[in-house]
Amino acid sequence: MKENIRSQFPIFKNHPHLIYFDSAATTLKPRRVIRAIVNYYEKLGANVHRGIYQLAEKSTIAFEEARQEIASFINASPQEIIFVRNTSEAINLVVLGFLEKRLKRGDLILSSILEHHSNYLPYWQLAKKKGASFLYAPLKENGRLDLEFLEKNLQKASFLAITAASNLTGEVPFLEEIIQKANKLSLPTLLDAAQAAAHLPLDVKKLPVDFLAFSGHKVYGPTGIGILYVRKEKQKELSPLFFGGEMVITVRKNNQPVYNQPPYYFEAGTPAIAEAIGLSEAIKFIKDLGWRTIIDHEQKLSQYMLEKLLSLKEVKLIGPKTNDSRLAIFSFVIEGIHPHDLAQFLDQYEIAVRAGQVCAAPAVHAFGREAVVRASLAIYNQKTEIDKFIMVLKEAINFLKR
Amino acid sequence: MNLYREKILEIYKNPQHFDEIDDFNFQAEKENLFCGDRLKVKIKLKENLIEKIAFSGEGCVLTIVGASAAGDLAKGSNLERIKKLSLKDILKKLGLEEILPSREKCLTLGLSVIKEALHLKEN
Repeated sequence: MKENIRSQFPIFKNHPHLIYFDSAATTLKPRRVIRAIVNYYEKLGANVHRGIYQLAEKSTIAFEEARQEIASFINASPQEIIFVRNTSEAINLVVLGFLEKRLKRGDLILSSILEHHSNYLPYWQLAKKKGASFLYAPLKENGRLDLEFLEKNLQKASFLAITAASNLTGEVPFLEEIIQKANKLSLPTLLDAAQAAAHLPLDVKKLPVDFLAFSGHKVYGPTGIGILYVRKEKQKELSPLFFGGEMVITVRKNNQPVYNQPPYYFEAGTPAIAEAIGLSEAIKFIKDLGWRTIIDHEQKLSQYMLEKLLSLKEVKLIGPKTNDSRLAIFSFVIEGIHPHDLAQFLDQYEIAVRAGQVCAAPAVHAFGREAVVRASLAIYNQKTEIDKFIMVLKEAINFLKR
Repeated sequence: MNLYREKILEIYKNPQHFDEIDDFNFQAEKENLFCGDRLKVKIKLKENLIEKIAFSGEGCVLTIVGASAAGDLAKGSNLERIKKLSLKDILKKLGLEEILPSREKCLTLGLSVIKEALHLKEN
């Protein structure tokens, strides 16, 4: 079964010995996703929402079916799904199109120390401009977020921006109660689901946030496409950042244009049609595997990796040391070996890991580190790869440690 | 390419020019913004020649061996010669044919901080 999943990823045909432990940066793409993209260019080709001819109709249907597929993936309605380039763009749209006009001097943005730069810098820029400031949920002794801090500060905050899963520690914080309380206080909420979306089910009815963002390329889909979910009631408070084609219905010279409804109002210009179709195919891939299979497989890998890493006394694991409420993401350091050296050493054995600050520098610093090595796993990984990884890690310790 | 060959690791574990000197007239400190590695250099320049050179700081294998090689090349050289030194010279000195572009800055941090201390422009 697992070997069967691996064989669905053409990259392994070209790199049969590749051990890809960098899925938190981007996941590899199954054949059917690549096919779906090529298929659009070879068989449809036309732009969407325009032509009267058959191909244009078919393109539009394929594109809107993609939106439908993505909406049902998070239990939203298609009108609530805005296509963007990636998670960063989605969050910038919320910050500039929604928060900009609400945030005042002295306001507080409630967030956590674990956020990816993309769920931090857009607010930071705005806060600087407006004279607003931040409250970050800190870490607890056990390497997990202090969620009580969030709860205690909801009342003071003007916005809550939080990750669904950390790209550094793999922690999946339990947010349901916090989001529900935020809703009662009418505190606007954004969930950065970039890291979580490929690994656990998301449901905007169970976790009723106002905004949710993820990128296609981290859920086995193509680069250049992502989505922003905007809860229906919040859509009228969001302004578009771009004006142009697609987002308007009637234009008369010197007259006020009549704009299109959401989500089109927020999607100026020809969209990434092939990429939307590719993303939809990626979601069908996830659906066909089923969450049970995915979670089961990844949890087993995670448990195994955790045991192996914890058994090496030289390895200092960053974040939770238990396998509950976490993804198969492992950041660590080995005293006396520079993370970049370790990553490059692993590369000599075709093991791909990330080294550095993993786009979450404040989080890395909160753990008292300058840089880490990160191994992040996904559905195509196998236990035997972990064995090889640990073996090479031991060799690196013997070889590189000063 | 096996970067972490024995010769390189030997230098890493016992690099040249990593010591303290009190007798210096130029110094500088530089950070590799990509990874936060930081090197400090102290130089004694006498009659246009580098008489003494000493590094301090922490870094990856490439940063350390690169600085060791840069120190070897710089010691006894004049400013004109140091100005002309480049990544190529460091590679040659270490017997490496090539390096991933993402790691060039590690290998040249030592050379770069020497040039900064001596107010020489990067080439």
